[in-house]
Amino acid sequence: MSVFYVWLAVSIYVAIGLAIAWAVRRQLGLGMSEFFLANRTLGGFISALTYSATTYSAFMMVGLAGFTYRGGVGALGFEFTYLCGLFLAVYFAPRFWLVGRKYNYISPAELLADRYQSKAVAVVAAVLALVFLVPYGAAQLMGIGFLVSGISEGAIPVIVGIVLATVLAVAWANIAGMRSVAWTDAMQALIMIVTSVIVLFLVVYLGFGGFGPFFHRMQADIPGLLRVPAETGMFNFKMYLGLCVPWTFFCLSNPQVSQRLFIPKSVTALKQMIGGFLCFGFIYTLVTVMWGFSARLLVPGLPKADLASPSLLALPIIPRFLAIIVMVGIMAAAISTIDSILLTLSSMFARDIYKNLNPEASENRELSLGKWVIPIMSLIALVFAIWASRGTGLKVMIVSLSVAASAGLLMAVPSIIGAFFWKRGTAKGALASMIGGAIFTMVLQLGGYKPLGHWPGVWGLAACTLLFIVVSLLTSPPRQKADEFIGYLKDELPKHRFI
Amino acid sequence: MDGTASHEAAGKNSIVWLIWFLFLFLVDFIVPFAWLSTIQKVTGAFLFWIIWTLVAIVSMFVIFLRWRE
Repeated sequence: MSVFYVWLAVSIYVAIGLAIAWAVRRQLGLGMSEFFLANRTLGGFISALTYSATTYSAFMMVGLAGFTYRGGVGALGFEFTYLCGLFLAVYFAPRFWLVGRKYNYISPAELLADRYQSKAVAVVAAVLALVFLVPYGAAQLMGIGFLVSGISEGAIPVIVGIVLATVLAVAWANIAGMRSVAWTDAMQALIMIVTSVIVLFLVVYLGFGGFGPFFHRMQADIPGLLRVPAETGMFNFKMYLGLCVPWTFFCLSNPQVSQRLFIPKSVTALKQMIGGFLCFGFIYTLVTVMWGFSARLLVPGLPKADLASPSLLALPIIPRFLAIIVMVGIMAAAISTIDSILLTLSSMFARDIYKNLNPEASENRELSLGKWVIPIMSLIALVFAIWASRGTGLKVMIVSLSVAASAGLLMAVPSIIGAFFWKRGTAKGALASMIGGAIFTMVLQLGGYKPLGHWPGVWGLAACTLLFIVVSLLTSPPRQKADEFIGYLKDELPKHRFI
Repeated sequence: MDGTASHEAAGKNSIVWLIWFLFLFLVDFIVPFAWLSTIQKVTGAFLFWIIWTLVAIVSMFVIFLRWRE
């Protein structure tokens, strides 16, 4: 594929993104809430698209399509289970949204610290996020590097793709904070969904003759991939459970996602955000899985399952210009996740770590520090990504940490649930749960242990829940704050017909 | 409806929906692995998970479409 056209497509994408980011910068006001939460004034449509783009990363078109290629229908079940984990949002989104407005929380860690009346809780929750999200961001950068290099047949080096993605993520996070991130996310979400749907229809109609023949070929040629466990051995029950447990709680455990529960401007916008994401997720998941099945039928025998999407795009039935646009779509998926992670981590560093260590610091100082943290974090992720892409020994660690990220972030879930529903929960319980659970999970993850065949995330969730309950029962809760916090919600929830 | 009554009604509603979603998640794990594991057709686990997801999504819509400003 011509390098010129790859660069042309990337240039147009960058130009449109920068134009959008600069246009919304005119609305940027002052203060932490303005920069990191768009002053809680985003409408439903943009909220839904930024939530979707942040949640769905390059994992979908590369990882999930590959999962389907190798493991079949279990990939559909796993990803749909994750989507339906959003049922937690119908309980927690209104609660996050209400207390966010009342107490002016910037980050989910700040919410926990205030509820449990402990600065240490904020610091630990922020450190957990930093430890687990930076490698996750690095993995996204690597994905972009390999994708751009692959599509250009090596003419664009991996490192150029990685640096380009880093620069874009930093720019879009820094230009106008949440406003530029949300609006560029919206653009990127539309690119992701439109290009992937067009390619699916082209593949199905030109490659198989329509959906009827496509399904017929699936049943005739790859029947063993239409059940769980698959004939390849993938998606046995324990693997399925191990994947589903951490991801079902994704909307609570990942701070870059739960922070978005603070930003809708009204109840209507909140409804539109959740409803829009559910529709987006349903279509995008189904399309991605069908990409995986199509690749299995049209390009069988690939050495690595992750090559499913690139191989599909390389088929002669896909116009070259469309393949390049899809490449931009996958890039967009990764960058929209990275810039959101950078923004959330910088807000947590400024508010939950720096502010707690320097209580006298002004809001301007916090904000200024937060803006500096964005390029620093990105530099760390960049260095990780470059080392890993060169295949040094660190690669093993990066991959392990990326896989561990979803399980590690899960350790904050009992504390979050307890904050809203259990007055007896304590700061010491939250700290023991997050620290003990994270160490336990990391030991299992990095050591490759799966007691009784179950994955680290499953054991980690059990351990941190137990620690939270037992330690809380042995220590003294902040009764006054618990009564005020939960009492406020008890009064407000029925007013909006929240459950 | 006074404050206490509305709190109680919201609480009951919340628990009923929680039970429904837990049931859905049990079904998500049991049906494909126990009942559909020998059916190697599009009308097996593939169709099941699509319908299951639509049911879950519609359930969520039923809940949040009632929300008011």
